[in-house]
Amino acid sequence: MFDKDQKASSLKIIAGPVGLLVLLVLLFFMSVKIGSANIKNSKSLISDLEGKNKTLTAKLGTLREIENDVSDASDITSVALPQENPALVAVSQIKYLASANNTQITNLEVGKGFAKEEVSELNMGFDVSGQTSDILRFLASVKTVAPIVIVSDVSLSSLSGENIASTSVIAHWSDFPAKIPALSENIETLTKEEEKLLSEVSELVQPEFFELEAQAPAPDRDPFSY
Amino acid sequence: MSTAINLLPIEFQKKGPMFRASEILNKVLMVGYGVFVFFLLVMVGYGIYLKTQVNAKESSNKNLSSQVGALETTEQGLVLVRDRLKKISGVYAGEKVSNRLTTLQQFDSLVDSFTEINQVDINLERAQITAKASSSADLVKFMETLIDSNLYKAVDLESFVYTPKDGFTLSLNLLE
Repeated sequence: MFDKDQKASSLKIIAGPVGLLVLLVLLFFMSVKIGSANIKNSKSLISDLEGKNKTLTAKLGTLREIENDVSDASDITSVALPQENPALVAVSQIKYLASANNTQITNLEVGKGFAKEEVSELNMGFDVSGQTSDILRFLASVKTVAPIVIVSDVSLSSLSGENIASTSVIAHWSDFPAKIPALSENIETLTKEEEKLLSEVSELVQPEFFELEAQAPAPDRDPFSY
Repeated sequence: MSTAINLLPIEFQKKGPMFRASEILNKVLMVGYGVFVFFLLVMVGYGIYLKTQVNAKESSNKNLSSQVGALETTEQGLVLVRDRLKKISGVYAGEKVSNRLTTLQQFDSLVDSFTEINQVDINLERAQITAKASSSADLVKFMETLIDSNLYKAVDLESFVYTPKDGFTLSLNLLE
């Protein structure tokens, strides 16, 4: 009986510390598990934010670098390849070129534009008359104007001293991009090829637009004064 | 012989292997809990440090985002320029006739004084000209100019006609 009581009492003495030890081990593992998961999440978040910050810093630098030039470049390229059918401006530019090269434009026809997904096209046809060398100079200079007009077909013939070139040209336009990249997405400056092309496009002869000034109403003329 | 008598109940008896084991365990527990508390403090401290870092990065991110947002017009401009240039490049890639015209215009300026180019057919497939030379000397000069100009890689003679009235009439296919 005494032995039994002694054994139970001994177990009682050891049970407390063993229980506390088990609790310590459990707490330790739980805190390691929870703590390491939180640390991992925080580190991953920091790494993600650092990546975003790096991208944003680079983007900000790029945008500040090009801030002053991009406005002119977008104006020039938008005139070279406009958003809408450039028929009127293209005709005006062709007439200007013809006049500058001592040639005359007749039988001007403007076809129906073909809207395409990438670049839409407008076919135009006309006859050019003048000296052969002037006609050739005029035709070679068509590609130097904005909006971009490309000669697609030329048939020049001389009949009884008169040189006439039946010409087909194509003017182009295209919709503006509908969306810009996400804020966190990186952006790059123009490549060397793009810069070279931009420089070529910048040299195109820009159309001249005049704004008519509003005039104050004039008094009606007296119909009996003549 | 004297006998040690202990009248305390068994649970208050501070001797025996279990008691010693208990004492050792208690010491281990004290050290263990101390280490555990220290570990917890370190972990919480590190967590707070990381949280501070996250807050700082988030704040920096927000600041940068607002600065980039303020330059949205510039970004739109750049996207527009890239888009236009890509499409213009595509338009120019298919441009053959204008280049042929430029070459022919250069050639015409060389032969302008002694030969007349009176027929030109230029399209995507070919560049063909018909030229008139009033004398054999002009014809030779024309051919020499054509060869020396190095403007064309090859020239195919399509037709060659001589009439006393018009002189020599050449029809040539010009290959760049």
